[in-house]
Amino acid sequence: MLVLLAAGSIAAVTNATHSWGGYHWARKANPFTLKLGDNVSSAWDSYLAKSSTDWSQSSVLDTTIVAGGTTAWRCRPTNGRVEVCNYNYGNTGWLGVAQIWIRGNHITKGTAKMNDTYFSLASYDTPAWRNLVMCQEIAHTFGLDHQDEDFNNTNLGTCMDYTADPDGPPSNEHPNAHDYAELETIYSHLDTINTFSQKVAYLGNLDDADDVAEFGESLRKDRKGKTSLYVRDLDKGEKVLTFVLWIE
Amino acid sequence: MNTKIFLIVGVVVLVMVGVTLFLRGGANQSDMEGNSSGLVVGKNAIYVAEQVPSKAISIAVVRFEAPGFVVIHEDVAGVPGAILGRSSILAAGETESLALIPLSRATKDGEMIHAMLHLDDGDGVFDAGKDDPAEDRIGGKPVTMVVIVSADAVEPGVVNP
Repeated sequence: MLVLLAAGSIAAVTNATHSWGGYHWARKANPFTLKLGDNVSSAWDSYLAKSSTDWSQSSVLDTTIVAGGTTAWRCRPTNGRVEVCNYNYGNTGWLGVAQIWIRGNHITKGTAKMNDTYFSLASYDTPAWRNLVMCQEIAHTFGLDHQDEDFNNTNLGTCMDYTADPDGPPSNEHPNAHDYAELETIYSHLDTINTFSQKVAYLGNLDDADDVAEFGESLRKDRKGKTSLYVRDLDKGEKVLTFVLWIE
Repeated sequence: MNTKIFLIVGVVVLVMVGVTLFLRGGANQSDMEGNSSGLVVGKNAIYVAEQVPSKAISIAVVRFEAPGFVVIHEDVAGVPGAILGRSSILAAGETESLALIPLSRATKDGEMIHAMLHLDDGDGVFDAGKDDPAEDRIGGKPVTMVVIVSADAVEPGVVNP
Protein backbone atom coordinates (compact mmCIF):
# COMPACT_ATOMS: atom_id res chain seq x y z
CA MET A 1 0.00 0.00 0.00
CA LEU A 2 2.84 2.35 0.84
CA VAL A 3 4.56 1.47 -2.40
CA LEU A 4 1.40 2.31 -4.31
CA LEU A 5 1.16 5.55 -2.41
CA ALA A 6 4.72 6.44 -3.41
CA ALA A 7 4.12 5.61 -7.05
CA GLY A 8 0.94 7.65 -7.03
CA SER A 9 2.75 10.64 -5.60
CA ILE A 10 5.39 10.56 -8.32
CA ALA A 11 2.85 10.21 -11.11
CA ALA A 12 0.92 13.17 -9.77
CA VAL A 13 4.04 15.31 -9.65
CA THR A 14 5.42 14.38 -13.06
CA ASN A 15 2.10 15.28 -14.71
CA ALA A 16 1.49 18.36 -12.61
CA THR A 17 2.39 20.90 -15.27
CA HIS A 18 3.32 21.07 -18.93
CA SER A 19 3.40 24.79 -19.50
CA TRP A 20 5.95 25.83 -22.13
CA GLY A 21 8.09 28.14 -20.04
CA GLY A 22 5.12 30.16 -18.80
CA TYR A 23 4.59 31.69 -22.24
CA HIS A 24 1.02 32.77 -22.92
CA TRP A 25 -1.06 35.15 -25.00
CA ALA A 26 -1.81 38.35 -23.13
CA ARG A 27 -5.52 39.04 -22.88
CA LYS A 28 -7.82 41.11 -20.75
CA ALA A 29 -10.57 38.52 -20.43
CA ASN A 30 -11.30 34.84 -20.84
CA PRO A 31 -12.19 33.13 -23.02
CA PHE A 32 -10.26 34.75 -25.83
CA THR A 33 -10.40 33.80 -29.49
CA LEU A 34 -7.17 33.00 -31.27
CA LYS A 35 -7.08 33.02 -35.05
CA LEU A 36 -5.47 30.13 -36.90
CA GLY A 37 -4.32 31.17 -40.37
CA ASP A 38 -5.14 28.41 -42.85
CA ASN A 39 -2.14 27.94 -45.12
CA VAL A 40 -2.61 24.19 -45.39
CA SER A 41 -3.54 22.11 -48.39
CA SER A 42 -6.83 20.27 -48.71
CA ALA A 43 -5.17 17.13 -47.38
CA TRP A 44 -4.77 18.88 -44.06
CA ASP A 45 -7.96 20.94 -43.85
CA SER A 46 -9.98 18.40 -41.90
CA TYR A 47 -7.17 17.92 -39.37
CA LEU A 48 -6.84 21.64 -38.84
CA ALA A 49 -10.60 21.88 -38.37
CA LYS A 50 -10.65 19.01 -35.91
CA SER A 51 -7.77 20.42 -33.88
CA SER A 52 -9.41 23.82 -33.81
CA THR A 53 -12.63 22.25 -32.52
CA ASP A 54 -10.77 20.12 -29.98
CA TRP A 55 -8.85 22.99 -28.46
CA SER A 56 -11.89 25.25 -28.45
CA GLN A 57 -13.39 22.89 -25.86
CA SER A 58 -11.14 24.70 -23.43
CA SER A 59 -12.93 27.07 -21.09
CA VAL A 60 -10.27 29.75 -21.49
CA LEU A 61 -9.69 29.93 -25.22
CA ASP A 62 -11.45 29.49 -28.53
CA THR A 63 -9.83 29.14 -31.90
CA THR A 64 -11.19 30.16 -35.25
CA ILE A 65 -9.80 29.35 -38.68
CA VAL A 66 -9.19 32.33 -40.93
CA ALA A 67 -7.60 32.81 -44.34
CA GLY A 68 -3.86 32.27 -44.26
CA GLY A 69 -1.53 35.26 -44.27
CA THR A 70 1.58 33.64 -45.70
CA THR A 71 2.83 30.99 -48.08
CA ALA A 72 3.23 27.43 -46.90
CA TRP A 73 6.93 27.31 -47.75
CA ARG A 74 7.92 30.45 -45.90
CA CYS A 75 5.24 30.22 -43.23
CA ARG A 76 5.95 33.67 -41.92
CA PRO A 77 4.20 34.75 -38.75
CA THR A 78 1.47 37.37 -38.54
CA ASN A 79 1.10 39.58 -35.51
CA GLY A 80 -1.56 38.48 -33.10
CA ARG A 81 -2.32 35.05 -34.47
CA VAL A 82 -0.99 31.65 -35.51
CA GLU A 83 -0.16 30.68 -39.08
CA VAL A 84 -0.55 26.96 -39.80
CA CYS A 85 1.34 25.53 -42.77
CA ASN A 86 2.28 22.29 -44.49
CA TYR A 87 5.00 21.80 -47.07
CA ASN A 88 7.75 19.45 -48.18
CA TYR A 89 10.29 21.00 -45.83
CA GLY A 90 12.76 18.21 -46.61
CA ASN A 91 14.56 15.44 -44.74
CA THR A 92 14.93 17.57 -41.65
CA GLY A 93 14.22 14.87 -39.10
CA TRP A 94 11.09 16.54 -37.71
CA LEU A 95 7.44 15.83 -38.44
CA GLY A 96 6.20 19.11 -37.11
CA VAL A 97 7.59 22.23 -35.53
CA ALA A 98 6.04 25.14 -33.69
CA GLN A 99 7.59 28.54 -33.27
CA ILE A 100 6.43 31.42 -31.10
CA TRP A 101 7.56 35.02 -30.83
CA ILE A 102 7.49 36.51 -27.39
CA ARG A 103 7.63 39.86 -25.65
CA GLY A 104 8.53 39.12 -22.06
CA ASN A 105 6.52 35.98 -21.48
CA HIS A 106 3.68 37.09 -23.74
CA ILE A 107 3.25 35.33 -27.06
CA THR A 108 2.77 37.83 -29.88
CA LYS A 109 2.62 35.49 -32.91
CA GLY A 110 3.23 31.87 -33.79
CA THR A 111 3.62 29.35 -36.56
CA ALA A 112 2.96 25.62 -36.78
CA LYS A 113 4.52 23.63 -39.62
CA MET A 114 3.80 20.07 -40.75
CA ASN A 115 6.51 18.41 -42.82
CA ASP A 116 4.95 16.71 -45.86
CA THR A 117 8.27 15.11 -46.76
CA TYR A 118 7.35 12.53 -44.13
CA PHE A 119 3.58 12.71 -44.40
CA SER A 120 3.84 11.67 -48.03
CA LEU A 121 5.23 8.33 -46.84
CA ALA A 122 2.88 5.46 -46.08
CA SER A 123 4.17 5.09 -42.55
CA TYR A 124 3.09 8.61 -41.60
CA ASP A 125 0.32 9.29 -44.07
CA THR A 126 -2.36 8.16 -41.64
CA PRO A 127 -5.17 10.05 -39.91
CA ALA A 128 -3.69 9.16 -36.52
CA TRP A 129 -0.28 10.70 -37.24
CA ARG A 130 -1.81 13.77 -38.88
CA ASN A 131 -4.17 14.31 -35.96
CA LEU A 132 -1.38 13.92 -33.43
CA VAL A 133 1.03 16.32 -35.07
CA MET A 134 -1.51 19.00 -35.99
CA CYS A 135 -3.01 18.91 -32.50
CA GLN A 136 0.38 19.08 -30.80
CA GLU A 137 2.00 21.81 -32.90
CA ILE A 138 -1.00 24.10 -32.60
CA ALA A 139 -1.06 23.56 -28.85
CA HIS A 140 2.56 24.64 -28.52
CA THR A 141 1.51 28.04 -29.82
CA PHE A 142 -0.89 28.33 -26.86
CA GLY A 143 2.02 27.80 -24.46
CA LEU A 144 1.59 24.08 -23.84
CA ASP A 145 4.54 21.69 -23.76
CA HIS A 146 4.61 17.90 -23.87
CA GLN A 147 3.13 15.80 -21.10
CA ASP A 148 5.59 13.01 -21.82
CA GLU A 149 8.55 12.61 -24.21
CA ASP A 150 9.04 8.85 -24.20
CA PHE A 151 7.99 7.36 -27.53
CA ASN A 152 7.83 3.82 -26.21
CA ASN A 153 5.75 3.93 -23.04
CA THR A 154 1.99 3.59 -22.75
CA ASN A 155 -0.01 6.37 -24.38
CA LEU A 156 -1.43 8.98 -22.03
CA GLY A 157 -4.38 9.63 -24.32
CA THR A 158 -3.28 13.09 -25.36
CA CYS A 159 -1.64 14.57 -28.43
CA MET A 160 0.86 16.22 -26.06
CA ASP A 161 2.42 12.79 -25.44
CA TYR A 162 5.15 11.41 -27.70
CA THR A 163 4.29 8.01 -29.10
CA ALA A 164 5.23 5.55 -31.79
CA ASP A 165 1.59 4.42 -31.98
CA PRO A 166 -0.64 7.48 -32.16
CA ASP A 167 -3.94 5.63 -32.44
CA GLY A 168 -3.13 3.51 -29.39
CA PRO A 169 -5.20 2.53 -27.60
CA PRO A 170 -5.50 4.85 -25.93
CA SER A 171 -5.44 7.29 -28.82
CA ASN A 172 -3.00 10.22 -28.69
CA GLU A 173 -4.81 12.12 -31.42
CA HIS A 174 -6.64 14.66 -29.30
CA PRO A 175 -6.22 16.68 -26.07
CA ASN A 176 -7.13 15.15 -22.75
CA ALA A 177 -8.58 16.63 -19.58
CA HIS A 178 -5.16 17.40 -18.19
CA ASP A 179 -4.36 19.60 -21.20
CA TYR A 180 -7.51 21.64 -20.61
CA ALA A 181 -6.68 21.88 -16.91
CA GLU A 182 -3.18 23.09 -17.74
CA LEU A 183 -4.59 25.76 -20.06
CA GLU A 184 -6.85 26.92 -17.24
CA THR A 185 -3.78 27.21 -15.02
CA ILE A 186 -1.72 29.07 -17.62
CA TYR A 187 -4.56 31.47 -18.35
CA SER A 188 -5.92 31.81 -14.81
CA HIS A 189 -4.66 35.38 -14.48
CA LEU A 190 -5.62 38.30 -16.69
CA ASP A 191 -3.35 40.85 -18.36
CA THR A 192 -3.71 44.55 -19.02
CA ILE A 193 -3.16 44.20 -22.77
CA ASN A 194 -4.11 41.83 -25.56
CA THR A 195 -1.44 40.34 -27.78
CA PHE A 196 -3.88 38.34 -29.87
CA SER A 197 -5.62 39.91 -32.82
CA GLN A 198 -8.94 41.64 -32.20
CA LYS A 199 -10.42 43.53 -35.08
CA VAL A 200 -12.92 45.65 -33.24
CA ALA A 201 -11.77 45.92 -29.67
CA TYR A 202 -8.39 47.29 -30.63
CA LEU A 203 -9.85 50.33 -32.32
CA GLY A 204 -11.38 51.80 -29.23
CA ASN A 205 -8.97 50.55 -26.65
CA LEU A 206 -5.55 51.54 -27.87
CA ASP A 207 -4.15 54.99 -27.36
CA ASP A 208 -0.92 54.20 -29.14
CA ALA A 209 -1.88 52.10 -32.10
CA ASP A 210 1.26 52.37 -34.18
CA ASP A 211 1.46 48.67 -34.88
CA VAL A 212 -1.93 47.03 -34.62
CA ALA A 213 -2.02 43.30 -35.04
CA GLU A 214 -3.41 42.27 -38.43
CA PHE A 215 -3.28 45.75 -39.91
CA GLY A 216 0.50 45.89 -40.07
CA GLU A 217 2.74 48.88 -39.64
CA SER A 218 1.77 52.50 -39.32
CA LEU A 219 2.08 54.33 -42.64
CA ARG A 220 0.24 57.58 -42.05
CA LYS A 221 -1.00 59.45 -38.99
CA ASP A 222 -3.86 61.87 -38.62
CA ARG A 223 -3.58 65.33 -37.10
CA LYS A 224 -4.05 63.93 -33.64
CA GLY A 225 -1.14 61.57 -34.09
CA LYS A 226 -3.25 58.45 -34.46
CA THR A 227 -2.48 56.08 -37.29
CA SER A 228 -4.95 56.38 -40.11
CA LEU A 229 -3.32 54.11 -42.64
CA TYR A 230 -1.60 50.82 -42.06
CA VAL A 231 0.36 48.66 -44.47
CA ARG A 232 0.93 44.96 -44.17
CA ASP A 233 3.31 43.13 -46.48
CA LEU A 234 2.18 39.84 -47.91
CA ASP A 235 4.37 37.58 -49.96
CA LYS A 236 4.99 38.00 -53.69
CA GLY A 237 4.97 41.79 -53.46
CA GLU A 238 1.38 42.03 -52.29
CA LYS A 239 0.48 44.52 -49.62
CA VAL A 240 -2.65 45.11 -47.64
CA LEU A 241 -3.54 48.68 -46.81
CA THR A 242 -6.00 49.34 -44.01
CA PHE A 243 -7.56 52.71 -43.50
CA VAL A 244 -8.94 53.47 -40.07
CA LEU A 245 -11.36 56.18 -39.11
CA TRP A 246 -10.90 56.61 -35.42
CA ILE A 247 -13.68 57.38 -33.02
CA GLU A 248 -13.21 60.75 -31.45
CA MET B 1 9.07 -0.93 14.74
CA ASN B 2 6.15 -0.17 12.43
CA THR B 3 6.64 3.52 13.10
CA LYS B 4 10.30 3.27 12.05
CA ILE B 5 9.40 1.53 8.76
CA PHE B 6 6.72 4.10 8.09
CA LEU B 7 9.20 6.95 8.66
CA ILE B 8 11.80 5.36 6.37
CA VAL B 9 9.26 4.88 3.58
CA GLY B 10 8.06 8.44 4.13
CA VAL B 11 11.58 9.79 3.74
CA VAL B 12 12.07 7.74 0.55
CA VAL B 13 8.85 9.15 -0.89
CA LEU B 14 9.85 12.71 -0.03
CA VAL B 15 13.28 12.26 -1.62
CA MET B 16 11.75 10.83 -4.78
CA VAL B 17 9.27 13.71 -5.00
CA GLY B 18 12.10 16.18 -4.41
CA VAL B 19 14.24 14.66 -7.14
CA THR B 20 11.32 14.70 -9.54
CA LEU B 21 10.57 18.36 -8.78
CA PHE B 22 14.25 19.19 -9.27
CA LEU B 23 14.31 17.48 -12.66
CA ARG B 24 11.12 19.22 -13.72
CA GLY B 25 12.59 22.53 -12.67
CA GLY B 26 15.52 21.89 -14.99
CA ALA B 27 13.20 21.11 -17.87
CA ASN B 28 11.24 24.30 -17.37
CA GLN B 29 14.44 26.34 -17.28
CA SER B 30 15.43 24.83 -20.60
CA ASP B 31 12.12 25.80 -22.11
CA MET B 32 12.62 29.41 -21.09
CA GLU B 33 15.72 29.36 -23.23
CA GLY B 34 13.93 27.67 -26.10
CA ASN B 35 15.56 24.35 -25.32
CA SER B 36 12.65 21.99 -25.71
CA SER B 37 13.39 18.56 -27.10
CA GLY B 38 11.72 17.74 -30.35
CA LEU B 39 9.12 15.52 -31.94
CA VAL B 40 11.56 13.94 -34.36
CA VAL B 41 11.40 10.90 -36.55
CA GLY B 42 15.09 10.18 -36.60
CA LYS B 43 18.20 10.38 -34.50
CA ASN B 44 19.42 13.34 -36.52
CA ALA B 45 17.35 16.47 -37.01
CA ILE B 46 17.73 20.18 -37.71
CA TYR B 47 15.56 23.28 -37.70
CA VAL B 48 16.74 26.63 -39.02
CA ALA B 49 14.49 29.67 -39.31
CA GLU B 50 14.47 32.09 -42.24
CA GLN B 51 17.62 34.22 -42.17
CA VAL B 52 18.50 37.79 -43.06
CA PRO B 53 21.50 38.33 -45.39
CA SER B 54 24.59 38.03 -43.24
CA LYS B 55 28.09 36.61 -42.95
CA ALA B 56 26.84 34.25 -40.25
CA ILE B 57 23.88 31.94 -39.73
CA SER B 58 21.98 31.01 -36.58
CA ILE B 59 20.74 27.47 -36.04
CA ALA B 60 17.68 26.99 -33.82
CA VAL B 61 18.05 23.33 -32.91
CA VAL B 62 19.98 20.22 -33.99
CA ARG B 63 19.99 16.64 -32.84
CA PHE B 64 22.88 14.27 -33.52
CA GLU B 65 23.08 10.52 -32.96
CA ALA B 66 26.87 10.97 -32.58
CA PRO B 67 29.18 13.99 -32.49
CA GLY B 68 29.05 15.99 -35.68
CA PHE B 69 28.98 19.33 -37.48
CA VAL B 70 26.40 21.59 -39.08
CA VAL B 71 27.73 22.43 -42.53
CA ILE B 72 26.34 25.29 -44.61
CA HIS B 73 26.29 24.75 -48.37
CA GLU B 74 25.50 27.06 -51.24
CA ASP B 75 22.51 26.16 -53.37
CA VAL B 76 23.22 24.97 -56.89
CA ALA B 77 20.02 24.36 -58.81
CA GLY B 78 18.25 23.08 -55.74
CA VAL B 79 21.02 20.85 -54.39
CA PRO B 80 23.87 21.54 -51.95
CA GLY B 81 26.98 23.03 -53.53
CA ALA B 82 30.18 24.54 -52.17
CA ILE B 83 30.66 24.79 -48.42
CA LEU B 84 30.21 28.28 -46.98
CA GLY B 85 30.89 27.47 -43.33
CA ARG B 86 30.52 24.95 -40.54
CA SER B 87 29.95 24.78 -36.84
CA SER B 88 32.47 23.58 -34.30
CA ILE B 89 32.01 19.95 -33.30
CA LEU B 90 28.72 19.34 -31.53
CA ALA B 91 28.02 16.61 -29.01
CA ALA B 92 25.55 13.79 -29.53
CA GLY B 93 22.03 14.68 -28.46
CA GLU B 94 20.10 17.88 -28.81
CA THR B 95 21.67 21.32 -28.95
CA GLU B 96 19.63 24.51 -29.17
CA SER B 97 20.53 28.10 -30.01
CA LEU B 98 23.97 27.28 -31.35
CA ALA B 99 26.67 29.91 -31.61
CA LEU B 100 26.52 31.74 -34.93
CA ILE B 101 28.23 29.86 -37.73
CA PRO B 102 30.58 32.21 -39.64
CA LEU B 103 30.40 32.05 -43.43
CA SER B 104 33.07 32.68 -46.05
CA ARG B 105 30.85 35.28 -47.72
CA ALA B 106 27.70 37.20 -46.92
CA THR B 107 24.50 35.57 -48.04
CA LYS B 108 22.27 37.51 -50.41
CA ASP B 109 18.65 38.51 -50.31
CA GLY B 110 16.60 35.88 -52.10
CA GLU B 111 19.11 33.07 -52.14
CA MET B 112 18.72 29.64 -50.57
CA ILE B 113 21.31 27.81 -48.55
CA HIS B 114 21.46 24.26 -47.22
CA ALA B 115 22.20 23.43 -43.58
CA MET B 116 23.38 19.81 -43.55
CA LEU B 117 24.40 17.54 -40.70
CA HIS B 118 27.73 15.68 -40.98
CA LEU B 119 28.97 13.07 -38.51
CA ASP B 120 32.51 13.28 -37.20
CA ASP B 121 34.75 10.34 -38.13
CA GLY B 122 36.22 10.32 -34.64
CA ASP B 123 39.07 12.79 -34.86
CA GLY B 124 37.04 15.85 -33.83
CA VAL B 125 38.17 17.82 -36.88
CA PHE B 126 35.88 18.55 -39.81
CA ASP B 127 36.97 17.02 -43.09
CA ALA B 128 34.40 17.07 -45.89
CA GLY B 129 36.04 14.01 -47.42
CA LYS B 130 35.82 11.91 -44.29
CA ASP B 131 32.93 13.25 -42.24
CA ASP B 132 29.95 11.90 -44.10
CA PRO B 133 26.51 13.53 -44.06
CA ALA B 134 24.20 12.18 -41.37
CA GLU B 135 21.55 10.08 -43.06
CA ASP B 136 17.86 10.35 -42.36
CA ARG B 137 16.71 6.91 -41.23
CA ILE B 138 13.81 7.30 -43.64
CA GLY B 139 14.97 7.24 -47.22
CA GLY B 140 18.66 7.37 -46.39
CA LYS B 141 19.01 10.95 -47.58
CA PRO B 142 21.26 13.48 -45.81
CA VAL B 143 19.51 15.35 -43.03
CA THR B 144 19.29 18.86 -44.43
CA MET B 145 17.18 21.95 -44.08
CA VAL B 146 16.84 24.36 -46.95
CA VAL B 147 16.98 27.88 -45.58
CA ILE B 148 15.58 31.01 -47.20
CA VAL B 149 17.62 34.20 -47.00
CA SER B 150 15.43 37.29 -47.08
CA ALA B 151 16.09 40.92 -46.25
CA ASP B 152 12.76 41.13 -44.47
CA ALA B 153 13.03 37.84 -42.60
CA VAL B 154 11.42 37.88 -39.19
CA GLU B 155 13.79 37.42 -36.29
CA PRO B 156 13.75 33.78 -35.18
CA GLY B 157 11.33 32.99 -32.38
CA VAL B 158 11.35 30.24 -29.80
CA VAL B 159 11.12 26.77 -31.29
CA ASN B 160 9.34 23.68 -30.03
CA PRO B 161 9.46 20.86 -32.54
